[in-house]
Order: sequence, then C-alpha cells, then structure tokens
Amino acid sequence: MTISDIEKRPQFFAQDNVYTPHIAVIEKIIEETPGVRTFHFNFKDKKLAKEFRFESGQ
Amino acid sequence: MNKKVSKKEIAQLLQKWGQQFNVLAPSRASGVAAMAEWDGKDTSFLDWYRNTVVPPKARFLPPMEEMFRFSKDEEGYNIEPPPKNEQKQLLFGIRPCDARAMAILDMTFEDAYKDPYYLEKRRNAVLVGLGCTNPCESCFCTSMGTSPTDSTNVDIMLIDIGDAFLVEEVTDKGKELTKGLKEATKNDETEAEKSKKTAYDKITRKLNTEGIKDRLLESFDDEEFWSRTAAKCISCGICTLLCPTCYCFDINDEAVRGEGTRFRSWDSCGFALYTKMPMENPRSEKWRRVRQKVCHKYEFYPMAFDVIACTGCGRCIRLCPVNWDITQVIESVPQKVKGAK
Repeated sequence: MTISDIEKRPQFFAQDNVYTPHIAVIEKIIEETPGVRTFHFNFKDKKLAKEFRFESGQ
Repeated sequence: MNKKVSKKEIAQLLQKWGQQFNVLAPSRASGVAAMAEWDGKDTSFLDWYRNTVVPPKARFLPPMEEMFRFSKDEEGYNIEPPPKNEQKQLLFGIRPCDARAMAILDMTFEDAYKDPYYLEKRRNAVLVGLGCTNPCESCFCTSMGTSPTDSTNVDIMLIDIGDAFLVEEVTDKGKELTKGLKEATKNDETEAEKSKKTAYDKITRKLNTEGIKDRLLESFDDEEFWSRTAAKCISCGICTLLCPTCYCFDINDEAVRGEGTRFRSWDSCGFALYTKMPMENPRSEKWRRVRQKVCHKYEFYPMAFDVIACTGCGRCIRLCPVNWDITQVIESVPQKVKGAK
C-alpha cells in the first residue's frame, strides 16, 4: 500500500494502528538560536490534519 | 463443580490442547527459565518450576518485534505490515502474580491508544494458571492484591493436590478446554483448600502499601531521600526489563537503500539514554530514574488506573545484582507531617 495515496487513507484508519506513519510536509523552519530550530509540519492529507490531536509527551 | 487431572495425564492434556493452540510451558532450554514452545512430551518442569526468570509479557510484548517494512519508489512510500499472526497461544503454568501483571498491562495497551501488536496476541491467548506450592523468599504477592493460588486473571487454574491437580474453570474459554476431565471429589476440594492455605502461609514477606501514593507524592522533591535510595543502584535495568508490568519500549528503523524495517524493542526508564533529548535529559541523574521507576508503579499508575503496577512477583529483588529491594524502599518513603517543611 502506498501511504501517499490519499484515496486509500480510510484503509489506514480502519487498521486502527497508531504506529502507522503518514506523509507530512515541512512548511517552515525557524532558527530560534544557533543549533535550535522549530519545524512546522503539515499533513498532506487535509482530513487527517484536521483530525490530528497533539498531546504533551507525544 | 471443579475438575481434576492426574499429574501423569498432564502431557496428554497438553497434547490435546496442542491440536488447537501453540502450547507454551516453562522451559530452561534458552539457559534461563521462560515460557517457550512445549516439546510435546517433557513435563519435568512440574518438579523444578518456581517461576520463570523472563516474565510471560515477553510472549505479548516481545523483546524485539517487527512493526512493518517500508520502501520508497517513484510513486511514494510503501508500508507493508507484518503477516497477521492468527496463531492462538496457550500459556501453561502462568503464576497468579504474572497473570495479574497481564491484566495490568492490558490497561495500558487498551487505553486511549490501542496497541494492535500487543492486543492481537493477547486476544488469541489462553492463560492456564498453576498455583504456587513453593514461593520464593522474595515473593510478596499477598501484599499486592493477589495470592499464590489466585485464579482471578486466568482462564483455568490448577491447584496442586498431591498426585493430581484440582482444575478450576474460570472463564468460558476455560470451560471449553476442560471438557472431558473427571469431576473433583469433595476430598479433592478439601485438599485444594489445604494446599491454598499452605501456599499463602509460605509468603512471609509483607509490604504495607497503605497511603503509599500520597507519601510518594509528598516525597517527590526529597532529593536527599531519593539519592540515598538510588545510591547502590548500578542502572543495569534488569529490574525493569524482567518486571512483568514494565512496558517501556523504543522504536528504531533499520534501512538500506530506500527500504527497511521498523522495530520496537524493550527499553528501560533505568537507562540514562531513555529520556535523552537533543538539548537536555530530564533524568540524567540516577536518583531521578530510580524515583521514576518507583513512582510509576506505586503513584502514577494508581492515579491513572487505580491499581498499583506491582504484583509482588519478587523478580526485581531476586535478580538485582546489588540487592536493591523495592519493599525496603517503599517502607522507607518518609511520612511527611502536613504543613511541615
């Protein structure tokens, strides 16, 4: 299965596997201090991006 | 009504179960006692077996496990899940402390995030308990909500009554598997009760856990206490790796030329690298790691699931190379006076 194929995405949800990776794009890199950077990611799949929750410690 | 099986008939019973299940039984074939595939005839473990060194969790959360394979081609990334493991396993001889540990592990792996690798194996398993007759000096299960003959977390429980075992059918799965066995007599029941009491009385190590969650909460910042507690620990991690309720793991990729495998493997909060991040390590000092190990079991787990994540199996005491003893640590957690600094 190709995970960049968005049409097949429901199959991944159906698998209910929290360890399955999804494709994201680095949209921005901020140089906070020398050697420390903040990366801004966004999922390619808009539905997934909307549903995604980030929890502390994740 | 309970049933009964003669010790001489155990091999025959396991062979019968072997037609439906991959039967696992205590074995020393790997050099240390562990649940391993039964060879189809040897039941000598009934004589030497006290408990396994490697806890049964290893059959559900293996020391190393393939999660999936991946590759990259012109169309994108491909993920290939490992072949579905439909094989049912029957663990024969699990001790009540380890069966309780499985129930405790289930709480984590069935919580908000379901772990498909663990749960698939767990759902396909049958646990056949074997009551202890000769517990170790380091065992303290009777202080941790279970006992040497507790049948709560198994499908079938066997209690030693001399030349035979009394068979308690605990679940429907268990009832199905004990069809055809002889019914136990009143005398067998009496013998089983005696056997249970004898085993219970052999557990002489006791631990008072009353109020431990609050005491640990109050002592969390007591660096002097934790430094003293951690002084002789050498951070080898064996107490966590062989603990039946510890489940820390790490995930790594092994990849060559655009394709590879993602694995997970046992890890330990006792290791300094476990919490190492690019800029800092919140548990670089040993006392912080020892505090984490103790508090996770006796404070954080009760806060999350209302149960202490220790079953008193005593492995961490028996196997520690420097005789670090969790029961001594728990008993020495200071009782702070409210309002005092």
